[in-house]
Amino acid sequence: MVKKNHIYKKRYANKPLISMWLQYYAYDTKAECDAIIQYCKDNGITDLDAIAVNSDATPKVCMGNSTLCNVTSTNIDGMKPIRYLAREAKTHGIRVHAWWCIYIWTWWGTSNAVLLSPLTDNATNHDTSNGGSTLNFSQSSPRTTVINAIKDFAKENPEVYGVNLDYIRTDGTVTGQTDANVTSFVSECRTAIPDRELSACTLSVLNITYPVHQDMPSWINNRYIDTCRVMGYYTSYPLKLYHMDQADLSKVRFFMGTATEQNSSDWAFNCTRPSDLRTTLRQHSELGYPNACIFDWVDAMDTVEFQEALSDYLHGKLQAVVPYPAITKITVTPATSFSLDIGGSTYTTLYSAITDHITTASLKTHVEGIEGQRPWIHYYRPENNSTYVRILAGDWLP
Amino acid sequence: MTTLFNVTFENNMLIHPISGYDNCYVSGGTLEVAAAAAYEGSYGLKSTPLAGTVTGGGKVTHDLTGKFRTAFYFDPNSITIPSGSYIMILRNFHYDLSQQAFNCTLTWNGSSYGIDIGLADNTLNIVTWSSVYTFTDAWHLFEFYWQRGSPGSFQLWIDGTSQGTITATNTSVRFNNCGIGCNLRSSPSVSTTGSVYFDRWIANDDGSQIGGV
Repeated sequence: MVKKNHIYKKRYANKPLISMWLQYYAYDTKAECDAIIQYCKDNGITDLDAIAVNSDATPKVCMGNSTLCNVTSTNIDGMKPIRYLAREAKTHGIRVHAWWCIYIWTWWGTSNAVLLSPLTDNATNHDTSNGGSTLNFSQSSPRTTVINAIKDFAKENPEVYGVNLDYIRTDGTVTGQTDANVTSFVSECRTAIPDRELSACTLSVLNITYPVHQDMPSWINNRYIDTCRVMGYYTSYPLKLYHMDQADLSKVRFFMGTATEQNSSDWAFNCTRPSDLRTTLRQHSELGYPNACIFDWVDAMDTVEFQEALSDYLHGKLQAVVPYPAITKITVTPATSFSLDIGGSTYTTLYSAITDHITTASLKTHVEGIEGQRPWIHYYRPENNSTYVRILAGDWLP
Repeated sequence: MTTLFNVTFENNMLIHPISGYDNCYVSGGTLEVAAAAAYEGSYGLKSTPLAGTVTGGGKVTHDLTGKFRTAFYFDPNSITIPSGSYIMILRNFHYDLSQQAFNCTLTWNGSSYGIDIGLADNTLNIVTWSSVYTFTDAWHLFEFYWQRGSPGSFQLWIDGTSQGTITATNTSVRFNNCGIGCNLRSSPSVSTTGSVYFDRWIANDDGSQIGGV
């Protein structure tokens, strides 16, 4: 278990924790690292999830372990960027976690991805079913290789506060992808880095198209992980701890996901819409979720609205419960139009006007435009490409 | 009893974390909260299906792997359904809309209504169907009890009287969603006339009796 540092205890007592994801391109120079730390200090961000092993860059960059990933590294003050970032952040009480995707590569799906030595890309190591990207968790070779890489990384980067396991789940269906095998992998990670905080990224619901085998209650109740990043980013993933109801939440610190990614049709919020971050942080407050993780840095940091929303969240100004939108009726004429009855009035829009969100001005005014009253209305395309209007608001309070 | 949800639509809101759906799935037709659809209180759910579309919604639960018991009041409200066709009024969602653990379908033979229930095995396909149980064109309490096992089972009560139990081996089946409405299936194509009503939809995960069984 991680040994708590006094500086962190003092800084974070009884305050919300805000975690921010960092892509590799956000912090590969000294100036960027210094600016990020200053920004965290100015805006109350307590944790950074900085990508640890990555080669999705030109030139290839390996932030972490250079033995297993034979790529050129960018150095700052003679050290890898993540170590520099962690060292400097620590002096200000900001925790840096190594964002580690559990692949057999340093990254996934890019031409610059580097295979972790000595693995080969085959079905034994990599679950290729359903186009999967994760380990074959039933096989010892990829498990051992990844865990050794994490262990070496921690040894080489003593200032890094923790390791955050992403893609710690299955997205294929080969034999052996089971709850037990994924859980034992998490357990071995725990054992490999006993002096660091271990985090895991978990889906906020399980009703996706494949079993993910994230037995969170086991991970939490056995204290394999210290913190949890709940990825409530997507409109199709309601913001809720569905898979945590059997877990002892007193044993884990969890961060609910908040996305600000631009130009992505399935992400819940978009920082180009000023009220979105404020709205989702308000939901966090209403639902009693004490902490938030925000994806990601590059898209969000420069907006004034983002900084104001963070400030209000941290200072308790988003606590008020707001009225709930009274949608009483939905009518859909396939491929033509749909209408909503809200507060006694009917608002109709054409299918052609719908992209990811409702675009009809009158409807936006009455649904999206009222801060805190917006249900998530999406033109939803499930895997079979049939068309639904799907309206999600499952976790809002009355 | 561990109540999963208790949906009454009494807040006059289709989507509401306590009183209404969590999610609406409407690819056609009309789904609405209506006073005419109230069995008790002031409001109930009115679903007007459209051929080839889905007109319903659901509640999300935790990952259910043992027991699931649910009940709701239902009034066919004189809806007409072509002979030999049916509309699905209850089903779970298991990972995606093409797979299921159980369902319940409504039929009409020109003079009386009927429902039957289906149960999936570990293939996530419905492999066992019950007989068709008839009921009158009025409000009735339907109660369902799904259990996982070898064999697992699915039981139906109408107005407190057990109609039958069907079984299948479903030891690996799990789900975390349940929906009510009309045409809750992948490719519904039934031309109906009229609307149906639902009210007070309750579920638990320990199998406790809900209605006056």
